[in-house]
Amino acid sequence: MTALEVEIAGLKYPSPVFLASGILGSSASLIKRVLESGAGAVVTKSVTLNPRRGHSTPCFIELEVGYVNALGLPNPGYLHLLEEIKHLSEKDRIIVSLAGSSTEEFFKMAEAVEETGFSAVELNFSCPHVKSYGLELSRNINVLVESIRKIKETTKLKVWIKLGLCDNIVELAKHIEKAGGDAIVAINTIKCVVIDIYAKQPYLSSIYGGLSGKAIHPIAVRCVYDLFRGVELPIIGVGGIETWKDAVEMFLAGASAVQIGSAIAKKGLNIFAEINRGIEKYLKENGFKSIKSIVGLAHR
Amino acid sequence: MLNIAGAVKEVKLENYRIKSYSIELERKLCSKPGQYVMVWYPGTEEIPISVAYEDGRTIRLIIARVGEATSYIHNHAKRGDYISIRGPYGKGFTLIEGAKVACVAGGYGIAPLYYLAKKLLEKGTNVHIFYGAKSKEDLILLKELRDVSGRLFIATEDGTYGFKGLITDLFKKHFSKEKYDYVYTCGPEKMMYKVVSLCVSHRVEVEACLERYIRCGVGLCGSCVLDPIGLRVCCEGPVIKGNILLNSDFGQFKRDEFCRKIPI
Repeated sequence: MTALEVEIAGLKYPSPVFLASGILGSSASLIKRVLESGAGAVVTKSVTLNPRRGHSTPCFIELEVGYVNALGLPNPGYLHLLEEIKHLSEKDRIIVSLAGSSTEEFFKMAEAVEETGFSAVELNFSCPHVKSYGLELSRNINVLVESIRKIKETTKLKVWIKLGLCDNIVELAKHIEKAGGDAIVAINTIKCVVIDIYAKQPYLSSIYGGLSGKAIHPIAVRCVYDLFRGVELPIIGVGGIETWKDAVEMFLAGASAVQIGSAIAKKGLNIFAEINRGIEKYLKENGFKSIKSIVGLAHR
Repeated sequence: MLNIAGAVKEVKLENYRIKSYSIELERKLCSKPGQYVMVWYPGTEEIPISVAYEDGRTIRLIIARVGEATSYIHNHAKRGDYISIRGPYGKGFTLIEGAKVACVAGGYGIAPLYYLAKKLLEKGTNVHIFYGAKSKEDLILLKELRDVSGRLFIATEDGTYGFKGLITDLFKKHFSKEKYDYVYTCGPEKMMYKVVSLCVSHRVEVEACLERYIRCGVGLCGSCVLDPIGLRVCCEGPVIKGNILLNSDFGQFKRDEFCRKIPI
């Protein structure tokens, strides 16, 4: 076992640095390439029951402080993605992200994921820019709880739940824990609006988008910190991680693993190996033998 | 916002379906031939367009009427209108010096190659340009191309101008005797595939500039992926070397807005 190996809900990953959902994970070729680049796991782009074109462009902007996107969950539909990725090896390192709009949809897709041979799903209760999905749906505690319960009762899948920034994130996590969820992933992009001052109208076709990148890192750290105090479940920290130091900060706040997204734009796919090296060095220099031994250390 | 604000300075009708736009930007773009910008003309979708030339703060974009956004721009954009630009994005062409160079263009694929030829000429490299289109009325920039090329070869499929037939056939004829060191191509993918295959099989360096569905432009969303190598055309392309392309779906498949593979 290497120092970087982590275990989440009984499944082992060679590195605690994963690819976040929504980034690159919509084709077998990129999933494979990311895994080969040193990511411990890849979370696919969220799939829905039916194919979605996503929002019209403009659906992406670069800001001084990060990125704003409103892709609008474009995907070929769950069956199409599963067909494309079913031949990939190391299925335990591929987590299929599901964006349902009801318990039934989540359940139907999860069943197909298990049949295809994957071991874990991430339920998207966090996308901030699509109506009736994601963050908006997380306000319906019943759908959140019942989706988890039904998948856990009927399948052997590990169920991660991705939450977005909201006032009651810890409360939601407690419901998830009680319903039998296996891990909390926090957070998604943060809902925002960007206005083009010359066009005098919102830049994004969908008006609302999600802010990602460096700017949201301290907010994500706060969520992970609070979640660690509120629940026993493993937490996977996401939000503005660009360097190994950002990742270590997440571990100390209480994350058992982290996910990377936007930083790939600047650093390319080498970022996984780079962060792995930095974490490994930090552990060694500070006398720790594993990631586990630093998880939540900031809470002493 | 890191977008660059621009104003339409001049609109020129190049032919029945192509217009070129001079756009004055608030700051220099600093593009390389082969790179593209995401162009948003409020009222329609944002689209990727190759830079066709850049001089100071003015850029030239050559836009063919191919879909909803380009039609909207054709119908509405006029002098003084606001246009938002982000970029430049992607990898451009390698600017080769001291070599015998050919550019092979099909249709509106001439735009980035015109920019490239102009840049190469500034560096003292005289390029041969092969330019093909369906018919005489499809050809654009003829005067400009004569000014920036050592030789200009033209083919039209219906024979209304220059060689009658495909530009790839005309290129093949000259390829063996001219002994090019470096070839650049841009145009319909099936055409580029022929050019790339010919060059690679003769061990001649070749770069092709691809068109894909592009959303983010910075390598995050994965919409533009070239399978099975997982290459992100938006940032690792759109200019890609021939030997890499021949190990991929180049010329065969691309992805649609739903991320589904579709035949080219």
